[in-house]
Amino acid sequence: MSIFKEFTKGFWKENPVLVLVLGMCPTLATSSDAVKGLAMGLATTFVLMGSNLVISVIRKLVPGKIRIPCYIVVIATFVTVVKLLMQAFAPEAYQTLGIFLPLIVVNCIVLGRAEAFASKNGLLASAADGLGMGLGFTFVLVCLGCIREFLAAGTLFGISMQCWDNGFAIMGQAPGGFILLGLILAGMNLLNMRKAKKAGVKYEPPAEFDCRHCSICKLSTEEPVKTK
Amino acid sequence: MKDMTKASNPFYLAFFLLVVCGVSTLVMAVTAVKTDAPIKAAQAKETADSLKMILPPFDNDPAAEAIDITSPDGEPVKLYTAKNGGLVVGYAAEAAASGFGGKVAGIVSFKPDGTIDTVIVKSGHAETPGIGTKVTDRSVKRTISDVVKGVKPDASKLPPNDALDSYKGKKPGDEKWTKNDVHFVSGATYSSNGVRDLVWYAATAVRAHLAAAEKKEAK
Repeated sequence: MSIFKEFTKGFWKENPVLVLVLGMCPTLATSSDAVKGLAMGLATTFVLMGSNLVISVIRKLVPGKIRIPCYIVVIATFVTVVKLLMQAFAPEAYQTLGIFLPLIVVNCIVLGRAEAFASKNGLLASAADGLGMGLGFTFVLVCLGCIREFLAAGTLFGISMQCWDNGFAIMGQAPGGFILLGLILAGMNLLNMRKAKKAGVKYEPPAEFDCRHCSICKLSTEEPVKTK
Repeated sequence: MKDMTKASNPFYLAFFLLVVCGVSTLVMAVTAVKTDAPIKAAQAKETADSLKMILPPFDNDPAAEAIDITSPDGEPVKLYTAKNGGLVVGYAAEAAASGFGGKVAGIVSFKPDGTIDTVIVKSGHAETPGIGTKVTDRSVKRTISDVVKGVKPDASKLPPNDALDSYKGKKPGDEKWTKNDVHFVSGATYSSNGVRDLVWYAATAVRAHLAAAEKKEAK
């Protein structure tokens, strides 16, 4: 796959939030307004790209048995560096993100890309993957943030759109985020299904993106428990 | 130790992890040292800017002369004293209380007699946008038509906030203020309580500090 394709896949085809459904905690928590979403997205993009780069470089040196702890240490280092830099040079963004900034360490998008991509691919491809995935994450956070902020407070990036001051308060909180994200995921499935129908095929999400490759489900489907 | 290089040797694995942690510690330590001064400068700037906004003109450095006091409820409060020509022109007290999304920290300025002048809530709180922020934020209200017309906000004035401005001129009594005394925003009771509590802690701490200072002077 070309470097360009690795970069662009994060925006739609393998979008970390809309397709891989990863990193739900920061997605719902920091998409309550557009500025917060943008700050979180950019911080995560930096960590994703940096950790992907380093992990790609050390992938052949790291023994398989301790790869996960090594990756976590690399990711935690990047997060700490981002945290210190933001605290020093962007204190407002640092305070806006609060606890969610150090929690990038446990964002499953970052570890997921390290394990699924950077540990198996070269430097350039890993950097392109990290940047693309990070920007895809940022794109979704900003879109969600814009919609939620507009519905909750009638503003976009803090600027009043002069339509309402008291909007749908629930959209500013986590339940509103869940509802909106659910609607967007449903809309995305609908689009993909229509596309497949036009092409004359049955829509099947790629196997590696859902739980079909997970053996836990098979425990119940292959040998169903017989009840009298 | 002949299998030292094998990836399954626990000693090698431990050694490798130690090296990774060592390198990571070094990177973090260098960043921490390099960013230490800018972080302190940024924190000092935020406090200094806030104090300049809410206190009358002063010629001393209130942030450098700040003292830690405790409110009668046992909450820690930082007290800043603004002086001009050696005379006290006002006080500012920094306190924090629980809101809806965690701690809400703020600075309250007082006239020399302990009357509340201005209340500001520090950025970094996690109150709900659009609801809780109505109680906490003095955000400049820019509308889309201002942006189109190119109207710039007046940076010299503190933007109004009905809830925060309702404390102006008040002095703490025997009981905490309720929604009948100050402006509570409906739907944002927790945020309103948080701001009320932080102002209460600051005001009662300043009252106790002034009373103690008066007693000392009388002696």
